[in-house]
Amino acid sequence: MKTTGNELRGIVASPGIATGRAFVYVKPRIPHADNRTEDPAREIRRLKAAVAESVGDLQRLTRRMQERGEDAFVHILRAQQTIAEDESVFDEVATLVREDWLPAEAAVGRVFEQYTEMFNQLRDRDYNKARSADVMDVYKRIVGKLLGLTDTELIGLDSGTIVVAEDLLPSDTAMMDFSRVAALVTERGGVTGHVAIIANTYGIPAAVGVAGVTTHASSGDRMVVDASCGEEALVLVNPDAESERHVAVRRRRLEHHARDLQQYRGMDPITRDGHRIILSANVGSTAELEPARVQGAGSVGLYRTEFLFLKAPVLPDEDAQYEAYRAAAEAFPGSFVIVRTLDVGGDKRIPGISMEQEDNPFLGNRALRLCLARPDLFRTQLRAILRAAVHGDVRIMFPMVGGVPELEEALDVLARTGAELQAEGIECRVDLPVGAMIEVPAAVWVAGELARRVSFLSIGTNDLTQYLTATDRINSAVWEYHRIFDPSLFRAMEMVVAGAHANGAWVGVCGELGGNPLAIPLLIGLGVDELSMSPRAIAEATWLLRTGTYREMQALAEEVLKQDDHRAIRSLLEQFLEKHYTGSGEGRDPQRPCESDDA
Amino acid sequence: MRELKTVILNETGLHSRPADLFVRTAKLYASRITVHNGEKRADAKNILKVLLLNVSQGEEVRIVAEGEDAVEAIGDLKTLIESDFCRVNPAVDV
Repeated sequence: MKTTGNELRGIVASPGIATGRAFVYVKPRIPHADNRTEDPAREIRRLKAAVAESVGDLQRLTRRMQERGEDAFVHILRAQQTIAEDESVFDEVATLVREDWLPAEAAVGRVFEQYTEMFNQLRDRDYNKARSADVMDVYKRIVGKLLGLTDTELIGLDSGTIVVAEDLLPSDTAMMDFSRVAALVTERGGVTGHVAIIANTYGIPAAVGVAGVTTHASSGDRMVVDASCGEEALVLVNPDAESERHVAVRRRRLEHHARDLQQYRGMDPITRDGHRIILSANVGSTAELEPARVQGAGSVGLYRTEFLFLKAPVLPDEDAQYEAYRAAAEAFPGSFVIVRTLDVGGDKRIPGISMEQEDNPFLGNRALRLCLARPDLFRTQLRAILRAAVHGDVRIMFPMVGGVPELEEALDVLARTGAELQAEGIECRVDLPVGAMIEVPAAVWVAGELARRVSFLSIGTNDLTQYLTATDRINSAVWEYHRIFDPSLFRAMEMVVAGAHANGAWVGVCGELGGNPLAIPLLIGLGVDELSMSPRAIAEATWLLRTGTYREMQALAEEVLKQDDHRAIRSLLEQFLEKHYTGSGEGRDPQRPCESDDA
Repeated sequence: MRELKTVILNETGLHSRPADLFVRTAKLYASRITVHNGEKRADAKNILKVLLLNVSQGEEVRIVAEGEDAVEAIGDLKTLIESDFCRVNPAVDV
């Protein structure tokens, strides 16, 4: 593609094309307290103005959240406003300015750090971690004002905004209004990090690993994000008319392709030679259930429970969780809903759950490990799931199982929790199917032994790829080594499928790869029984299934398993799509936008 | 001087929203108001100090008000706590 002007490249984290105005999101940094002011009175005036502006912001945000009916956020913002208005905190800061001749920023920093420290030392640490996060938020807001920063929050965006940031964490996006976001562009982050997951969930194009974008783009710049083709994303800042026209053509073609695919929604997911696959949706909240059904999902293959914890101002209790899981069970009557137990740690930190700072969080106390270390959290969640299971076919899946010992321990906690509910006379189901996620390489070699103890295995390709290739998936510096079509991954899958099937368990794939059109024929050919993906990928997956044959897909898998290089695998997959999915075939074949030149 | 001894029955204790409503109600009055939780005490109008008292569900607090409107202040805070933070003085935005 020919483009001019300010052009940057990155990695596609969620496909699509968007045009809009950039909003460069800035996170204030904690300033060093080594310089001194010569004019404390002026610093105190600045402080007063910054506090007043912050309070004004919080009032505006509160109104916006009231309009959106987000009561939980209203309460958080009100509490933050009370903190910002606190006169004794103001006096403490002012005293530091006067007596220690500190600039306002540094004085605010010192006082708020003391408070967050005090909160962190209280008993009931989970609870107070969340409070200390509120204090930090207020502090950042006031410091942001003192430093003259604008654009320090993702609430109240104009529609059609392209959010540009160094990185976006769950805490940054919690209050973001996705209906106004046209695309996400970040400097850091990988194809399977938080940005990718939320962008896919909301159907927003996203480009990550776009080096220099926060310095090249300013808020208000026109911006084009083309994440429509392959893995490389193109980001244009203030593009000229010709490149904009170019992108508009590609965008229309993509929309046309998507429209053509809609006819496959809800059709039976079966190959031409009669091999049936289960197509499920990945969801993270009650609000996503109905859209998933509309997109043609037959079941929920992955309910990410961490988002329930992320959105709530306090840890959701047993009843709140029960309601959420019950809603999922009732939204999919007659089919299964797989609830994954809490998967936090790594890049997912939750304000209400205290976690130690770890040097290598992805290799640390996360997911099932954290749950086993925190029986209070784990038991509450299991109780809620077992109770919700009365209302439908609810199943449980444990994330990050590394071997038989932790699986047995988790199953033991589950059995004891079920017995406890029964002893209390509470309505529940204790015989529900249980599965283990395969995302730790060690689990691949004992897949058969794990499968003997559960009903299904589900391959989490994001983490499995990260651990097989030893690449931090949110570090774009090692992106080229994070090979999503690495031969090791498919050889591992072959072992997992064999181990599971020999022991009467079925196998699913619930990572991003499960919804990748290039990978789908291969995964089916490898013998995977279920694919769970972002709901919007389901129509295309149905088309791929119904247009191809299992026999061809098995031959493809056989060929792929012989390869020693991910580039060779990618080209095999591309050739397969070209050969079987363009030209004449069953029904009207939607033409894939990447495979033809721009007219 | 007026005094009130009461147990916080609210599930989250005197934290987040309840603490916020408590402090904003206290601020409506000119009286000096302090909250005591065992040995510890805090200025009822200082949200961070109140949060740091770390009052959990089922704990008893003692509230002391000194000043001209002490009676009204204690009455209002009593209503708030005993209604499980549902009955809020209309002057406080909820």
